[in-house]
Amino acid sequence: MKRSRLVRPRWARWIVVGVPLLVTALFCPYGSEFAVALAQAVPAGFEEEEEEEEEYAALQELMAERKRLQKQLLAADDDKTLTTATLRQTDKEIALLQKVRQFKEQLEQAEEADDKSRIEQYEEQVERLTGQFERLRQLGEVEAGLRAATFELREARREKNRLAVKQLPRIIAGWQELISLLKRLHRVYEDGPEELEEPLEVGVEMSERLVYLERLRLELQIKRPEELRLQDVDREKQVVVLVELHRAFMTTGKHLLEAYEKDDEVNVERLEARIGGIESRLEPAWRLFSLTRELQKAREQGDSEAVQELKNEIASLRATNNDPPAGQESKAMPSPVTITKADRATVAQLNFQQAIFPLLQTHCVRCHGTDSQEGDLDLEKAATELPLVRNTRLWTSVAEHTKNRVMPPEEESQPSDKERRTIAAWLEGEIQNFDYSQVNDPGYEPARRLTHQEYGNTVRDLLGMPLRVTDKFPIDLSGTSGFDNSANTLFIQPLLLERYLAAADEVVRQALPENVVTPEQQQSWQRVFFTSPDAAGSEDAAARQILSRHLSRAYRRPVTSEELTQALEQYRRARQSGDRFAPSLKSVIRASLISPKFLMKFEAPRTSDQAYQINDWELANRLAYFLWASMPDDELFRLAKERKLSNPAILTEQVNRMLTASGADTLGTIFASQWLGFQHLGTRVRADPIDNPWCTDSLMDAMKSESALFFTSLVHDNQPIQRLVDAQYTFLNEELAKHYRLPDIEGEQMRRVVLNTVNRGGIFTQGSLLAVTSFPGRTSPVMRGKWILEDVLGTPPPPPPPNVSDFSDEIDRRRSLTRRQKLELHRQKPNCYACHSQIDPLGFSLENYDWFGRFKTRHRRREVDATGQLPDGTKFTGPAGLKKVIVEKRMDDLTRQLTQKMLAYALGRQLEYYDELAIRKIITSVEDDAHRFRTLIHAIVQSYPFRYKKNRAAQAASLSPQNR
Amino acid sequence: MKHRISRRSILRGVSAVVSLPLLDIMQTPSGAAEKASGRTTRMCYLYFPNGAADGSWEPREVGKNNELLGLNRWMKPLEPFKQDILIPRKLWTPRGNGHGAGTATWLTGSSYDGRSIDAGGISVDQLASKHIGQNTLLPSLELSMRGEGFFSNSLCRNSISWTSGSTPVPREVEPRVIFDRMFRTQTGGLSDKSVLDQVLADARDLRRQGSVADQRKIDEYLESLRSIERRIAFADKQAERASNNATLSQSLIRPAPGIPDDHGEYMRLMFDLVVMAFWADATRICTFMLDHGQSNRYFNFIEGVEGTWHALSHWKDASGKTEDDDGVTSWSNVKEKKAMYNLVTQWHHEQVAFFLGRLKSIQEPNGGSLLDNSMILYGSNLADGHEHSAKSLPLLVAGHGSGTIKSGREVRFHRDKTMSNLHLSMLKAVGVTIDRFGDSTGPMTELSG
Repeated sequence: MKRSRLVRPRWARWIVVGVPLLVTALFCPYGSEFAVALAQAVPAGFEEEEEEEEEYAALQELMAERKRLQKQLLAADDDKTLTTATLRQTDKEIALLQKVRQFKEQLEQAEEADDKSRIEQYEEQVERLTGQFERLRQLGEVEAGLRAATFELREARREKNRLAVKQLPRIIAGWQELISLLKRLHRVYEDGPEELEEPLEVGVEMSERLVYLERLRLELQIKRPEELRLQDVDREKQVVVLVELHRAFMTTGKHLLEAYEKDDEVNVERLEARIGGIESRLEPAWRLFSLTRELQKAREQGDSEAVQELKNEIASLRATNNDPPAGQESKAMPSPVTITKADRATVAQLNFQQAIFPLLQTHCVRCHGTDSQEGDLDLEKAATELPLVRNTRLWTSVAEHTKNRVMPPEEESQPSDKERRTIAAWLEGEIQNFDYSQVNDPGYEPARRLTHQEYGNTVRDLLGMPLRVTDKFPIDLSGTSGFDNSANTLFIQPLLLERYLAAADEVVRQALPENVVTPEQQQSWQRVFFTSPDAAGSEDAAARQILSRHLSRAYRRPVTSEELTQALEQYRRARQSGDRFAPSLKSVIRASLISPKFLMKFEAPRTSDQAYQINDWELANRLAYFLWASMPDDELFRLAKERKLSNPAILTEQVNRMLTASGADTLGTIFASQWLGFQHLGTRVRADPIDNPWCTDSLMDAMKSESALFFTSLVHDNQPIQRLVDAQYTFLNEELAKHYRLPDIEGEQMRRVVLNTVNRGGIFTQGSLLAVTSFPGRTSPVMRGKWILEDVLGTPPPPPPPNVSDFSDEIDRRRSLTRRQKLELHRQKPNCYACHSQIDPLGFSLENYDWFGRFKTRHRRREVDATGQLPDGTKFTGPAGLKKVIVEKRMDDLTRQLTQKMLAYALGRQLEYYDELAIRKIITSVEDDAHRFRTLIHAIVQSYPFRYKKNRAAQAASLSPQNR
Repeated sequence: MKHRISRRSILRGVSAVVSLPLLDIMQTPSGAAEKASGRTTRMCYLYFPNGAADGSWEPREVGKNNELLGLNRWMKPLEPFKQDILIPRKLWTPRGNGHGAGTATWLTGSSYDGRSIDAGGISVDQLASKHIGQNTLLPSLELSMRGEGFFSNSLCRNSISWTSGSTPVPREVEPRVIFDRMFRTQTGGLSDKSVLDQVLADARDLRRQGSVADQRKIDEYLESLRSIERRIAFADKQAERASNNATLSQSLIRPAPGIPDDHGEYMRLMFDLVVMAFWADATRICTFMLDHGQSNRYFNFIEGVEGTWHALSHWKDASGKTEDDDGVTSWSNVKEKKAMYNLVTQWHHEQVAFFLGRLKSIQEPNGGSLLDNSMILYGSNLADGHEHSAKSLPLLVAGHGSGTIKSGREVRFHRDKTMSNLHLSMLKAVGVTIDRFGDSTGPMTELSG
């Protein structure tokens, strides 16, 4: 009863007819006039009284069509299957329509005779047959589309049109899906339209499918999406509007239905109003679509009068509709200004303050100045930070925005093209041609506290015993450098100091207990209390020796005589207050563990305004925290003491020694995990353990461990950097091997395994990294592609331009599309294409790995499509293809990125523009030695910023005697 | 491991109105109002991320003199407290905006520089703590619900309190640890005074040698050390007084270790700890982040809610495609999504109502309930989460600030005013004598009516 309120003739028809109508209008391959006519007729046809006339017109039209087809059949000497099939369809339609007319006549007679039972009977028949006719026609259109596509495919094969051969099977598959959806829809209608939920669902899916097909077809026509012509975009946008309206109509219908069922009068009223509103927009949208089609046709035929007329009509229709989507298109694709060589030559002479900044002031500063700072951008401030390469990223983006007309926004006054070229060319020149050799600045590593990991390792190495004391520490938060060892994010706050206090107690209690029990405790005890009052001759002498050694190690430099004196005083006070010998020393040791000299990495600055070399002790510390994330060992201390460590040959020797020691694992567990992001597995990224019992902590540990061990092994074995991508071995234990479906690995122990498959090996195939670049439960080619570009190669795509999501949502909601299809759709929008054509293919090539890194060849009953194509035309498939592309084309980027990341980690700070020269030098030495990992590390260790520092201007001033 | 901690267990003793004498370590009250009334004012800042949907913060009915006659449906949980709250409209943060910068500067009234990590200055709570925090065991208490998902280790999204523009204050997340800091004063190695002296000497030594940048780090250390010394000095007194009071000590029940699974239970337990801290005068200043600045926590445990908070906050986009969205949940329309967004806000109101109820149930010796003597700023750094606007932020001030706030009203400005004015007024109410805070243009005198 209530439902019948929804199934009003008009609405029901929109649901039933609307979507198939789209099919007709968009795809009817050789009857576009018919499609347009139909499109125009349908909204009007909803008026009951015109129905008969329309029926008659349709019949006339069909007859005409039939004649035409028959003629064609006789005349043509090529493939006739297409025409024959169409003719057959037309015959069926005509037969049905004639039947309808017969029954209608009988119905009229019965009405005249007022024969109620016959009226009822014929009414039923008419209704049934009309429905049948409609369905037949709809199906006919879709089948015609399928047949046409099949036909075209045959042709394309013959003509060896490669693009068409590639695309058409997808189009055919699309048609087939459409047919099955349509049949489903029809079944529902044959059963009676009471159940509206299902047709609504199907309708939504069909409309989604349609736009996809339309896109494929467009692509086929235009070949290169970036060359999409304006009118195509225009039309595309209209299709989107139409589909959106239909979808909104159906969604609203669904909710209305629910509201009817719940007797929710308030919502019924609201939704009815809404559905009425949508309906009133549907009609003009269709009209606009038809007019545009006609316009296109008129243009093709060169009928200038018709063109003008249609243009006017479209304009007035748009004006009355106030139709914003249609009005925006011309602006959606502004063409960038082109910078010529001449431009570059001209601007090279210009001065920033005199010629460039005034332009920025005119066009940018009102919103992006110190007062407003829209988008967090303050160009006035940035302009004072010289040289401009300090803010390379910012200025590059200013150049890009200017060049591409992204800024200033449309509603603001626009710079002339010449001004745009001047700004962009000058900024680009300034950045690209900057002479870094004039910069002589190794940077300044300020004092910082140890990270929690470094603290744990240092305590371990100081006392020779692994302890877990950092669990309750507040987490180290990360800033912009990406590594948590960056000085500007390492704070000491009361809360943390409280934790340090508790940890110091705990460390002394566990490592140096009164009653030594375990072998580790014995070792710790011996390490600290290496001598005794008896051996040393007196308690004082023993205390002096013990503390001297302990404090030198804890402070990681020679203890000064004042420090030792103070420490001994503290010891004596404890001793005099009645504590025994060892406990008295322990109170000093406890104090040492919360001393800033222990907790901080501190390099005492020299009074100098020139760059200066750090001393050997400082070098030992930098080395140890870089390569081991812990304190220097005895050998490093010895070399520092002998002042030999800074000798380049000895330094090289020591680095080699350090890289084979177990502490070098931290390059994998800390550096690589923070660089590549696998640290987030298990914390930021994890599967719900209830639904995914296989996703155990031990599995995730093994996954992270695989990546960490792998990275460490590359360094250890001095492999070339490209092995990061294409190694043929990895590290597995039983659980991980099972996860990967690799046989014959038993036991919990991670071990090195040589692989005989290209599907594993290298970072792109490691579960940890595949998981952290996925959404929970599904893969994201975009996320993976972005990760490769941004994190692995250091060439991040620019952020998406504003307002890109309007169309994407449309696509995203379509359940019937595979994700790949959706992404391909996203990509075709010109605004998206520039970046997504780079991002997506990389990600697609990893589609064989699911969201937790398992290999699969089928997904949702479809074969996984792991092909990718870069904008330059390079095609590749699957992990093997990806590895090859990266190794062949992107080694320079990978090398630079790894260099920059590792240097930032080694220095414990963000890199700045003045590091550029050092980076270039490191890269050169790496390239000169076959990209070997160790060469990279040696070059970093020998680099200027690693071995030198320079006081900052403000600091130099504060250190000068006048300011003291 | 699953922990189930009943929130009842911690405040078991507090059911009816309880009267407890103030601890004598609390000496001279510093605020003007306090001097007059002899009351002690507590300050609390409750932060929630992702904003609140347009319209969800507007009172349903306001009387002639701006008195709150009825709250809207989403704010219903706060209805019983409408005489205890003041809703300012058209306050905003002109300089810091968005999930990152806006969170970091919510309490500093300044702009944020993520590269050099600079929130523009000290935050209002830390400034208050410098003035009135010296009277308590903990100068201030910084709490946070444990972060989840993306951005849970992002610095700017997890920091609202800053001791200086470049030093954020870390936040406690584990109930037991918080309890122990207040009520089980283990002083560790510091019971030994000589240890303190030694490390103090070390720090001064380094400071002498260091550059300006180094000195800043060492000052952080010295500052921390001082605060610990203070804590030790307070600890014994506090412990002694607490043990002398049966009602208080009975209600001090140590929470189990770990984080409760149930998000609501966890939050209420944290609120209980704040009540505890205020009641026992272990601190007078508390900031509590109900989630990090871009929380994408699932609130599916609320009936009718699907998807993550941040995604819901972008309610005009029903596709579920925001940057940190799960990509799985989607919504049929924006209305549905907006309703879910509002339900999440409402859920937080319920927890805050629980907190206010607790405070109201505790009567203080010098008059008034704990709520009367508190000043609680509850709100977000974003207005409507979809618009990412900072205009007319969802904010409310609960409690009467020991009689300095005329509650039960809406204060609607004609023009947008900076939230720093509110910060300034609250500071003045507790006796901090400054004329400017952040980008303030003058105190918000409307607070007192």
